[in-house]
Amino acid sequence: MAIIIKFIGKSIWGKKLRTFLILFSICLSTALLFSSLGISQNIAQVYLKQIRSQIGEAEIVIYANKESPSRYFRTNQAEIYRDQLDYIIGTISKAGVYQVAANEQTMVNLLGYKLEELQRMNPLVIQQQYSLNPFQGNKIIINRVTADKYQLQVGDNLDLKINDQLHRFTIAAIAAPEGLLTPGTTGFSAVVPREALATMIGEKGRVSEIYIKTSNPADIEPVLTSLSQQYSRYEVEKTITESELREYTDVIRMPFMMMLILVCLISIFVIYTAFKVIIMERMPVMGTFRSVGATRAITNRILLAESTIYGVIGGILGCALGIGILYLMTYSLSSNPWNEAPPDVQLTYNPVYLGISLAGAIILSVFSSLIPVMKVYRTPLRDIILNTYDNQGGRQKNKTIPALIILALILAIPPLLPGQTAGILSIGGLIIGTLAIVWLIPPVTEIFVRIYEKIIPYLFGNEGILAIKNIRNNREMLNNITLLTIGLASLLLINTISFSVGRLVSDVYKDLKFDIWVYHPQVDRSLESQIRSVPGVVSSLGLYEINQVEIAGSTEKIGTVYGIDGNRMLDYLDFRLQGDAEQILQQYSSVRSIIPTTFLKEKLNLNIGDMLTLKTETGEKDYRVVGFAGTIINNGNTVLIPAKYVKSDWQQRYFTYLWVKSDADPADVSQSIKDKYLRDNVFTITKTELQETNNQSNNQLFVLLQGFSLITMLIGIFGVFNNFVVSVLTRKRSLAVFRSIGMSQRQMVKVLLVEAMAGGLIAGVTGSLVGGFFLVQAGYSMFAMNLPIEIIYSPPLFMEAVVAGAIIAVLASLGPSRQTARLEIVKELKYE
Amino acid sequence: MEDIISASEVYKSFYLGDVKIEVLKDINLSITRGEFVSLMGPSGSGKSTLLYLLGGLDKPDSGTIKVKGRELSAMSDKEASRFRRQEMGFIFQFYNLVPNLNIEDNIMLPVLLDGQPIKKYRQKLDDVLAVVGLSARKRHTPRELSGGEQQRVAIARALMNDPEIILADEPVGNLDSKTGTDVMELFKHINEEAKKTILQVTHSEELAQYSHRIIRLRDGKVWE
Repeated sequence: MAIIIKFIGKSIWGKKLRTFLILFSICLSTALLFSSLGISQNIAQVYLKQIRSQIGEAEIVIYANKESPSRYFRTNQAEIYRDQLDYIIGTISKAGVYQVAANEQTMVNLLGYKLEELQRMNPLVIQQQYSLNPFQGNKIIINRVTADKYQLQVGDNLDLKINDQLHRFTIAAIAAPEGLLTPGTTGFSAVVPREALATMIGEKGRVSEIYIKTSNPADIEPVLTSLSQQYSRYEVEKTITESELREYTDVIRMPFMMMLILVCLISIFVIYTAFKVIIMERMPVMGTFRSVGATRAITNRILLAESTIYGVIGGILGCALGIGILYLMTYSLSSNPWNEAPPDVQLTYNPVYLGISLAGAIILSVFSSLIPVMKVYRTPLRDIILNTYDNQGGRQKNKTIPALIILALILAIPPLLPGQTAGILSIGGLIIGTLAIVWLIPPVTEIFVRIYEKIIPYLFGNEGILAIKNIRNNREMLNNITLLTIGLASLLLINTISFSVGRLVSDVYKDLKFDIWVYHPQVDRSLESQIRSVPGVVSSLGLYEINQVEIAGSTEKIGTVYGIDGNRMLDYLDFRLQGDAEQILQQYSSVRSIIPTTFLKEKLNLNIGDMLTLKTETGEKDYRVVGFAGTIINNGNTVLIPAKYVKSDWQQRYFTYLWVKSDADPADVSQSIKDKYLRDNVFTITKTELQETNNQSNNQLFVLLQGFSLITMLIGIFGVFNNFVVSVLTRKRSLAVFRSIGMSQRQMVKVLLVEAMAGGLIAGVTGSLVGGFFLVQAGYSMFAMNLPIEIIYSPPLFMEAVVAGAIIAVLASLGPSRQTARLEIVKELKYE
Repeated sequence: MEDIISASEVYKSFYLGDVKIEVLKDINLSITRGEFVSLMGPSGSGKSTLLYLLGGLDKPDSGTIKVKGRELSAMSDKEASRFRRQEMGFIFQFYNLVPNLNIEDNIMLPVLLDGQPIKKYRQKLDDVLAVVGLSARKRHTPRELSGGEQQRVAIARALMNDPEIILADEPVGNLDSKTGTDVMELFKHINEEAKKTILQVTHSEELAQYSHRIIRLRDGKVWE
């Protein structure tokens, strides 16, 4: 046994480059497996942390809604449950105005707290203070960013206008720009004594929100029910719900899982090809072992033990790397641009994930090596001992027809199935399709070789002809093409989706024809007409928005219902109505009608004239489908309903928001509206700003995904490099023959580089085709995830992939080519 | 007759670990144009090493080797490569055909490497194939040929560029006696009809009888 272990150890150590490649592939696959498993938990943590930075550990929140008698209320009804609660913290918020200079003012979000309560729920990090305690009267705490921006120091006075009254505050402390005082996009937040602020606005003894934490989490539900009865006209809800968390994490987790599949496929291929060479090298030794009495089982065990060792080492390294990757991902999602200090990232992961990842690494390694090992198992003893087994193997079966049938089925079946099923199938299709594509590489290469035969001799002379002849039936070259194909395809997949999502966002905003979005909790006709009087405002449209509307008799929900007037609709949005727009709008205005998007048409299998029953505030209502809209706003999960029906069916007293058109610079007009209605807490944002915010949040995810796809490519490149080394090793004798019959070193380098370039170009083209296939599959999956993204196939991106294939292959072959050119001819020729 | 190959005070050694093994010691020989010479000696006597030195596949530690009046050691890699493909043909015991090229391509290799247009050599290819008796097998791959046939392909390849010198390292060592005799007859034919100078390494006294002269090596020295 000791001899065998020593043998395995020496074998692994003897081929450091190959050992590195195998371990590298296993390590990265394990790391991605671990980080994909752990990402949900950590994204949830980041999400929770963002929420917790505002509300601490509070579990229940009470606040006023549109039906509440007042925005302010008392905490005494909650005090009844004090025994069951850890804390009940009331807070009051109000907008103020800080006159920075004669012609400059900014909004201040004033947050009234009892300091001791705030420090208990969500502590501020006080950096400087001046007579902070007792926290009463006109004291104020601002953050460091605000202090630096307006050159304010502790002890300075700060004059703020609240409800048109000027109040002088003293800066009692400067806190770190985090948590409650994290800087936002407009104005700044500040903490003031709760009672002082309540008194200033005439609401003494009242609060605008109550945050509650129970002593025992098991009491959350009963307390929530009791409080809902006590505060029947207010919103009483959990601060964070499970479904909210799952929805948030699923969208991020799914793409990582798809990347993981690709990385595993590429790793399997790398390990499989590496093991084929290992087996080839080990055959004579296996023969020796067998000749001295070792059974087949023992020789198999030796080979499988070697792959298990790779799995264990690669798995351990991969888990360590996975923790690092997970940390980096979480770090990038947690980073706060306002805080110089690094974000406080607390990595959490289930230890079981480490076990799963390690087991995954071992399975990956052993499974990938199984086929080559089985070859030894099947080889007759005589051939092993005499070293007369067939190195090249038999002629490969032609699998072109089965591969084409599989691909045709994978592409044809999903459109015939319902969205959800198609989505699940498409992930399986991704794996099976990749295998089918691997089968197609030899015939595709043969086609290319025939094309090359017509072109390459003119470009590279006789060395070119020789290079083409070497590509044909060269297994290492086919392996290289396969590895590069999968690597390039995964890069194309991620880049195209990222590009398509960018285009989607931009297209969505093209559908919207307003310039400024205006929000206020109580937008009515009066406020609308006032806003119209702001210089630069040309017109406005008030609309209703209801989210997550249930469909009667179905588990499906409509993401967003827009209540919008039919006669003014086309002035504000271009939802690309399918068919005769005039006729659709005529019907839309005359009956209780509904216009779903084409995405919902497909998902819910709707036709014109169908009735869609929605659950509204006033019961279930039937809406007649009068047409379909081609928009992808809210990922296409949207319907339009005439404003009057939304108003009556959902009992809406106010518009949800206003869309405003302007004939001046929207940014200036937006600022003018803000300035005019500063004290009314009117929020405005231009369409461009909305689009940028959307792009930024998408970019954060895509940067991470691109990182993953680069890792996939990196494994692919290492695999290609390894294959070139292997290719040279296995062809050393042939190459020495070339040298013996008069090939110069320069000619040899030229032949090998032309070979690599030609193979790389094939991989570039096949990579582009496979990338296209992956994108079709990804399209189905995303449709199933309610993300109907129109994939934009960018020809330049695909062209870049073709060129990249050639460049990568040439670069990977440079070292081996130069080394080979210097081989010792006699030594290689005498080798028997 | 004029010397086509000559070696003077040639030494060659290898390192086996830290131990220096002197394979060839003070080798002096000459081969005249049109001669058929056999190089004989026991295993490890340095026959193959000497053959490779004379063919320019390796360089001596010291001494001079001249082929057709040119000193091989003084040539650059480019010159030596061109010299090998134009002036010499090599035949090895294990044939050393390129497995993924068919017979035609294997034979055409020296032409390809010489940068010559292949089309011009179609007739020559057919002629050479006829000489070795493999006209019907040119589209086959080496795997589909017997040992004797593979060695004939190697001979055809060696003849393709019409070199004056053929160097063969145990050319029938891997063949049965009948096939070996056929191949040796072919060598004799090439030597007599095509006037090629042939230097073969062999263990067999019987096969050596096909040559005009035998050079014997023992312990790295010419024993003749």
